[in-house]
Amino acid sequence: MIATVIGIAFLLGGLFFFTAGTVGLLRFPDALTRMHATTKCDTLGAGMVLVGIMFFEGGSMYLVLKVILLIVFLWVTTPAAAHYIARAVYRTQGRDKHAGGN
Amino acid sequence: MSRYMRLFGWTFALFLLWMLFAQSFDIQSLITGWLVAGLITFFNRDLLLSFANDLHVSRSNLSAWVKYTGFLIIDVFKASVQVAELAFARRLALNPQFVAHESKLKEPMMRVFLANSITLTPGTISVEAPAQGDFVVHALTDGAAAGLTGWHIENLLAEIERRH
Repeated sequence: MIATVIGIAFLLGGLFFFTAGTVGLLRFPDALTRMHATTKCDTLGAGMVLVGIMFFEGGSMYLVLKVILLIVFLWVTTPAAAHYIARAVYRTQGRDKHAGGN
Repeated sequence: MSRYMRLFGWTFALFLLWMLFAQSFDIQSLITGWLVAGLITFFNRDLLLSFANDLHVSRSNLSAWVKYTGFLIIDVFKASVQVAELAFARRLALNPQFVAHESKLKEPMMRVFLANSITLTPGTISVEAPAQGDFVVHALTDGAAAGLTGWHIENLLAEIERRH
C-alpha cells in the first residue's frame, strides 16, 4: 500500500515535469531556450516515472539495478544530444540571433 | 591495463548488462550475450575508455565522486523546478545569453563531465566544449550565467582530477 502511494507520487511528479517541459517547448521563443525546457524536465520526468514503476513492481534487486542503469544512460545521453543540437544551432545560425542582444 | 585486458573487461561488463536485461540463464541466451558483447567491444575497440586512466575513478577520489553524484542529482531537480517555474509564469522572464566560461579542468574526460553537468543543471546548456580553451554556455537568465563562476560542481570535478 505504502509502495503504491510512493509509486503514484513519483509518477505524478514525472508527469508534472513532462508537462512543464512541453509547456516550455511551446512557450519559449527559440531553439536554444526550448532545449533548456526539454533537456532538464524530460530528464527528471523520465527518472521519476522509472522510479515510480520500480515501486509499483515491488522493487526486486533486478528491477532496481535496471532502473538505476536506465537513469544513468538517460543522464549521459540526453545532455550529449542537447549539446550537439545546441552546437549545431550556434554554428549555423550564429550567436546574435539567439543571444537576446547580449 | 593491457589492451587485451581492457577488451575483456568491457566484453564482460557488457555481458553482465545483457544478463541483467535478459534475465535468462539458458545456454542460448548466454552464448548470444557473450557474442554480442564481444562484437560490440571489437567494433568499438578504439573508443574504449579505461576506468583508471580516462574516467579517473580510483580509491583516493571515490568520496569526491559520491559527493559529485549527490550534488548533481540535487541540481538536476533544481533545474527542472526552475524551468517549470519559468514555463508556467504568466510573463516569460527570460534573458537568454551566451557566456564564455574559463574552466580550471585540464583532463578531456573531466571536461566532458563538466559539459554534461552544465547541461543538466539550472539554466545553462553547454554549446561549445573544446578540449582546451573556454567553454561557450547558453544561459537562460542573468542569474544562471553568473552562477557558473566558482560553481560547486566544477570545484568537485577539480577535486576528483587533483586527487587522482
